[in-house]
Amino acid sequence: MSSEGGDKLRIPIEIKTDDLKEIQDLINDLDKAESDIDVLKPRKGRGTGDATSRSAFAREEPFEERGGIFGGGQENAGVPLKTRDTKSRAAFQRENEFSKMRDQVDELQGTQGNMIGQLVNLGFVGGFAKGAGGAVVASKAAQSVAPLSNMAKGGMKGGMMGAMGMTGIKGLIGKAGIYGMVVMIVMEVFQSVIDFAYRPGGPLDKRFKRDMSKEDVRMIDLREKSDISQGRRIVRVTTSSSLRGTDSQARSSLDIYKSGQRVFDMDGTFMIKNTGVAEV
Amino acid sequence: MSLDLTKQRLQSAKDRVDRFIDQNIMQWGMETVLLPARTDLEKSINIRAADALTLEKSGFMKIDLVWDLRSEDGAPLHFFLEYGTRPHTIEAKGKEHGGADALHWTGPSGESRFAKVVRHPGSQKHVGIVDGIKEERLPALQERIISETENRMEIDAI
Repeated sequence: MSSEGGDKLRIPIEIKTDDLKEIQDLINDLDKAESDIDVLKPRKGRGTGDATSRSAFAREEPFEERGGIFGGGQENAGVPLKTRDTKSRAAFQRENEFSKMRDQVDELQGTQGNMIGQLVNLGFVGGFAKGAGGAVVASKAAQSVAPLSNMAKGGMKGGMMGAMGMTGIKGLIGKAGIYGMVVMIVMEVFQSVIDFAYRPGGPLDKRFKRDMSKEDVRMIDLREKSDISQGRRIVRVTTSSSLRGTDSQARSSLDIYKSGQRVFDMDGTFMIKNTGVAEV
Repeated sequence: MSLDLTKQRLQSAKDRVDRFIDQNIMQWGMETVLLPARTDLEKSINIRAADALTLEKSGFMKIDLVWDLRSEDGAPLHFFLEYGTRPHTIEAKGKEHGGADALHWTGPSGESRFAKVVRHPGSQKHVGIVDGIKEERLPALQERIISETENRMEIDAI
């Protein structure tokens, strides 16, 4: 309470965010999110790192398993260390997370294809054998499944010619007649549908997926993403002939960020856009 | 790289909250403090007293409730009303000084009373009017700030 300013009565009202519990909680949450980001960031060098991180630098095995002076007991003395063999002439296979994931996907894809093909063939053979009512026919059918399948894949005309030339197929077709053809067509359609559903990116593709919306991307909104992408794409190119061929010929706002300067101001506005800071 | 940018944005979040509050505190103060206070003053004193109450921005996240109520001859009535008066004597000015020879007021039963000099017992009745307004209205202002800030942060996606 004061009377300064021409003998007016003044009652000051000051707002401090520290006094507002909800605002303080909000800011604490932001601080926590900020520290979470530090955990998410990839780490370089040795160390166990964060076990929950997807960082490629996270060490899978603790140091204790190395034995020796690094925490192991006497019983492990003399056990070869799991270190790189620098004396061997064998090529050193460098592993990374991407190649591991790619191998996993290839393996899964191969398993899917084999499994589905076997299931379809078995179903067809079983059904056909039941219809023919004999073990001999079943074995013949089993032998003929692969060529029949190839025939259908290669087109009806060529396939028919190929099939007609094969021993055992004539009898099979002769016994099955038009019904056999229908079964083959249905089987091929079924196979196509299965292939379509399980293709990479298809609706039943069961490979490893990463839902980006559940990861850190959701922490920034579209406008933020737009700012970031624009910031990265601002490239200024000089037409000055004296500067051609130099390092400073083209720059982007990314240079500013790399040099450690702030990209956003206190208000969250992208500062270096249209400011000419990247001029050469 | 995007994580670093996100971190920068989070680091600036507190400053942005403060700036948002600073930019809007006059508007919120007007709606939650000044207008209700004017209504109270108009009812309890008069419309002149209500109109004399204003709001001024005095700094970062700071506002002042300003009361400047004066008599016709410029006496600071707001001080008398805010802090009260000690017992004092009131004398008629007299015609030679541009006033009346006697004081006039209305008694409790409605009859007119006249005197040349009266001894006023002092006023403690309205002490702390504006301070009381602040105490009464500040929680509403704080509540408004919290809700507006939370809405803003939600819209702005932090």
